[in-house]
Amino acid sequence: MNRRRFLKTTAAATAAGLVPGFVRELGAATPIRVGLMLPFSKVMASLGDSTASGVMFGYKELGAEIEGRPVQIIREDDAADPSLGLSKVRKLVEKDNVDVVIGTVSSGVAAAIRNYMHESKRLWLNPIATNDALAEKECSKYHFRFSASAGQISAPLGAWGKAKLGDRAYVIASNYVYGQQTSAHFKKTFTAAGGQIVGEAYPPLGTNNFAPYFQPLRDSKATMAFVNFVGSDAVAFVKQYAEFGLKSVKPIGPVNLVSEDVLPAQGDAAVGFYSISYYTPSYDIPRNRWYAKAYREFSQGKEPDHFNSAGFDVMQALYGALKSTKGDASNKDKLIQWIETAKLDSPRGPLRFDPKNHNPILDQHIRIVEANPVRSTVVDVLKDVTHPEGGCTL
Amino acid sequence: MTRWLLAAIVVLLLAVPLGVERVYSTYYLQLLTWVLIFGLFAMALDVSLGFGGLVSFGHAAFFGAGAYAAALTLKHVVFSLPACLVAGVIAASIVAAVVAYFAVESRGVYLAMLTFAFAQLLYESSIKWVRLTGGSDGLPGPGRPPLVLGPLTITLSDREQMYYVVVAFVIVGYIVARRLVASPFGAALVAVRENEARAAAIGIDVDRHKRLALVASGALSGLAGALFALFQNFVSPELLFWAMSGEVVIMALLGGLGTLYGGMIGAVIAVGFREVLSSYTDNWLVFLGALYVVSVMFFPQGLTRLRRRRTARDQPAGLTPVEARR
Amino acid sequence: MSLSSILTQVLMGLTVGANLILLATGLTLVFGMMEIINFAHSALFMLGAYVGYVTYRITGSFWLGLLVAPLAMGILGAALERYFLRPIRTKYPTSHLLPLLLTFGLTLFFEGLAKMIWSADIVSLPKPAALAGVVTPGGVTFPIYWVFAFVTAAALVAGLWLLVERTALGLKIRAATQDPTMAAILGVDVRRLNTFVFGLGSALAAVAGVILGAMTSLYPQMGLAFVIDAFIVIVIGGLGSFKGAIVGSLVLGQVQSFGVALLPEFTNPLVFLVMAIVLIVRPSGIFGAVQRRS
Repeated sequence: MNRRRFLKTTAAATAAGLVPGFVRELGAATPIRVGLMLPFSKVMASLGDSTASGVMFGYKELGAEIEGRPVQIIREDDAADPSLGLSKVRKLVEKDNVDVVIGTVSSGVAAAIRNYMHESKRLWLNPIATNDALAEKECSKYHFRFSASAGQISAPLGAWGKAKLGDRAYVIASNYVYGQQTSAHFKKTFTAAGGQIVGEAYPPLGTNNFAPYFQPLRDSKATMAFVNFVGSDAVAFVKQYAEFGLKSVKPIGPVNLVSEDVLPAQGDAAVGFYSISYYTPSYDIPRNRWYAKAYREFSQGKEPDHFNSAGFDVMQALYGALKSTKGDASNKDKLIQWIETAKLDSPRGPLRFDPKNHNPILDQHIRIVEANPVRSTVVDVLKDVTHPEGGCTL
Repeated sequence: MTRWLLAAIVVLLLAVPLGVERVYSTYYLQLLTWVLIFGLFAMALDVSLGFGGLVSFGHAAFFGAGAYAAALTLKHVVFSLPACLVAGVIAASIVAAVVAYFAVESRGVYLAMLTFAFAQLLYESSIKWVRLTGGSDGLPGPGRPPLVLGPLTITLSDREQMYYVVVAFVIVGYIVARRLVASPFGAALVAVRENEARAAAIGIDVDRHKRLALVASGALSGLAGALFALFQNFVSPELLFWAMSGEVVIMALLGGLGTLYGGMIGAVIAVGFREVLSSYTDNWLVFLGALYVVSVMFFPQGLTRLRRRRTARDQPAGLTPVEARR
Repeated sequence: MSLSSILTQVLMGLTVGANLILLATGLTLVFGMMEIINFAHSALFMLGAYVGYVTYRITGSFWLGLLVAPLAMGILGAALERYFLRPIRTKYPTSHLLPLLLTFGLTLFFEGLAKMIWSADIVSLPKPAALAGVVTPGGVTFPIYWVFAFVTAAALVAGLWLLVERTALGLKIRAATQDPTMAAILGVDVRRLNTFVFGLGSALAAVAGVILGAMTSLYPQMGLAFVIDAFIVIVIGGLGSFKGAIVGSLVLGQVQSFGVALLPEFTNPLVFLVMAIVLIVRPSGIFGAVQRRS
C-alpha cells in the first residue's frame, strides 16, 4: 500500500466529513432540534442505549412533529467522559443549534456540563444522572431531572431498613461519588431512625473479587447490608455474596444493584436482594402494563427498565411543554413553567417536579428479587419522596 | 519546516476567529482551541520522548497536576489568571521532579512502567481525596478570571479571547521548547538519547540531563493542563488516567518525534478523527485502535517525515529503520 | 481480629492471588522472552472469555469452552506476533515505544470489536454444574468453583514450570530469555520461539478469561480491571521472572485482603504505591534479573 496515497484518501475523507458542518445552515428554523447526549460507547454503553431506546419510543408514540414542526433528534456519544461530554454538548448547542439537550447518564458528565448548560440557556432534560449537587448548590432553572437523585434513592432506606431488616447495618459501596453520596445519606437516616452502623467498606470501581470483604462483614454481626454497586461490579458482588452464603445479612441497595441490565447475568444469585427504584417493570398499574407491552414490541424483545422509562418520560415532558407554547422553543420560561406544574402519567406512576429544585417528586418502590422468573416485585411503596437536602436557589 | 511556513501557519491561526459566525460556528473555534492545547501537550512530551528518548506512559500526571493546581488555585487561593497558570506549571514541575528523581535510572520499559505507576497513583488519589479534588465527579466551575493588561481586559469566557490566549501560549511554549532543544543542553540530551555510554564517556552528566528534560517536559505539560482547566472550566480525574497518557504519546508519534511541531499535527489528526467518527458511529473505538496500529505499523516516524524517512537524522535512532542505518 | 477471621482473610487473599497468577504468568512469560509489556493481554483475556461464552451457547458445555478458548486465542496471539509485532521489532529493534503503542492500539481495537459483535450488555458464563455448591472448611462457606480456580492456577503454574525447566523447548526459551543473540548463534530459531511464546501467553490469558469470567461477568471492558493488577504483580515480582509472578501474585493478594480488613481507605493507592516503591528501590523487581539491555 502506498503510504502517501493512503494518507491523501484518508485526509480527503475526513475533510469531506467535516465540510458539510462548516457551512452554517441558513434559514433552518423550522425543525425542533433535540440534542441527545448519552454514553453510547465504553462502560456505560448499555445504559445509554437503553435510555436512547426509551427516547426513540417516545418519538414514535408521541409523533414526529409538534405543532407542524418536525422533531429532529441529533445523537452524540459522551462515552461517560466529562471532557468529551463537554465538547459534545458545545457542538450540540453551537454547531447544531439545538433547542433542548437531553442528557446524560454519568454524573461526572452532568457535573462537567452544568455550568455550560446554564450559561447557554437551553432547556436541559436529564434522564438519569443522579448527582445530588444538581438538586442543591448546582441546580439550574433550565435543568430537570427525570430519574431520582442519589439522596432520593438512598435516604428512604434508612428508616425502612431499620423497621424491616434489623438495626445493625453494614455499608459497602463503590468508592466513587455515587457510592459515597448514597452511603452517606443512608448512614444519616439509618442512625436517625435508631439503627447502628456496624462497619463500612468502599471497594474501588472495577473490583471483581469481593472475597476479602466478606469476613469483616460477617464479623460485624450485621443484620442487613446497604449495598451499592453498578454494572459489572454489581454482577460480581451479587454472585459472590450469594456463593459465600451471605444472604442472611439482608442486602438492600439502589436499583442499579439488581437492575435489568445486570439481573440476567446475576440470575438466581440475586434472589432475595432488596432494592429501591422509581420504576419496576412488573409494577401493576395500567400505564405500566401498556408501556411494558408497547416497549417490548418496539424494541423487539428488550426489557423495560428505569433507563428507557425515564427516556420516555423525558419525551412526554418535552412534547407537553412544546405543545403548550404552540411549538415555540424559544420561550424558555413558559416551557419551564409547564414542566414545573406538569403531572406526567409515567409508567412508574405519577411523576411531577419540585419547583424548588427541579428534582422529581415520585413514589419509590421497595422491591425484592423473586425466582421463577427472576425479577423484582414491589413489596412496598414510599409515596412522594423528595430530595432530602436543601441548598438550591433557582 | 521553514520559518516562512511556520509564520504562515501562525497568521492562519490568528485569522481563524474572523470566520466565526460568518462561515462556521464557534464550535469549530473551540475545537481548534482544544487541538492547540493538546498540541502543546504533545510538544511538551516530544521534548522528553523525542529529544530525550524517555519513554513515559504517565505524562497525564503532569497534565492533570497542572489542571488541578490551576483549578484549586482559582477556587481557594486567588482568582487570578497569571497565578493559576504559574501554579499549574509549578505543580507539574514538582511532580515531574519527583518522578525524575526516582525514574531516570530506569530504562525503556521500566521507565514506562514507573511513570505509569506514578500517574495511576495520582489518579487513584484524586478519586479518593474527595474533599480536595471533588472525587470522581471532579471540580466544576473553578472560573475564568479576567486579565487586565493596561487598557486591555481579556475575558476568557469569550470564546475568541480564550482562543487568542491559547494561541499566544502555544507560540510561547514552542519558542521555549525550540530554544531548549537547540541549546547545548539540547544537543547533549540528544547525545544521551542516542548512546548513554558514549555520552557519559565524553563527560555529559547523563542523569542530570534526563531529569531536566523530564522536568521541562512536565512544566510545559502543566501549562497545557492549566490552560485546559481554564478552557473547560472543569477538571476531573480522567485527565490523570493512563488512556490520556497513551493518547498524547500517539499524537506525538503520529506527527513525528523530535520535531516539536509534529505534536500539533498529531493532535489535529487524533482529535479530528475522534470528533468526526463519534458523530457517525458508536463503534469509533474500533477505528481509534486501528489508527494507533496503523500509525505504528506504517508511520512510526511521523507524518512530517514522509518525504525524507529513510535517513532522518533528527529523530531517535530507535525509530530509524534498521536497514537505513549504516 | 480473631484467629479464625485472620485465617479466613488469608484464604480470601489466596483467592485474589490465584486469580492474579492466572493472568500474570502469561504476561511475564512474554516479557521475559521479548521484553515487551503486552497490553494486548487484556484483549486476549476478554476475547478468550467471549469465545468460551460463544462455545457454551452453541454446545452447552463450559468445559468445551475452556478448551476452545485457549486454542483460538493461542492462534490469534501467534498471528498478532507474527504479522504485527515481529515486523515492527525487526525494523526498529531498539524502540520500546512502538511495541507498547502497538499492543495498546490492539487492545482498543479488540475492545471496540467485542462491543460490535456482542454489544455492551453484560452477559454471564454459567459455571459447570459439576462445580456448583460449597465446601465449609472450618465453618467458612467457600464455593467449590473457587477451589477449582485455585487448582487450575496451581496446575498451570506447575505445567509451565515443567515446560520451562524440564523440556528441550523450555531450555531454548530460557536460553533466548537470557541472551537472544547467543541463542540465535547457537541455532535457536528465536523468531519462531517468540511467536510460540506469545501464542502460549495468549492461550493462558484465554484460560484466565474463561475461569474468571464465570466467576464474575463478561463485558467488552473486562480486560482492563483485571490486567492492571496483573501488571502491578509482575512489576513487583520482577518483570520476566516466573517465580516473581507467583510470589508477587500471592503477596498482592494478601496485601489487598488485609488492606481491606485493616486499612479500607487506602487499598487502591496503596497498591500503586508499593509498585512505585519496588520500582524505585529495586527496579528489576523482587526476583527480577538485573536489566541486561539498555
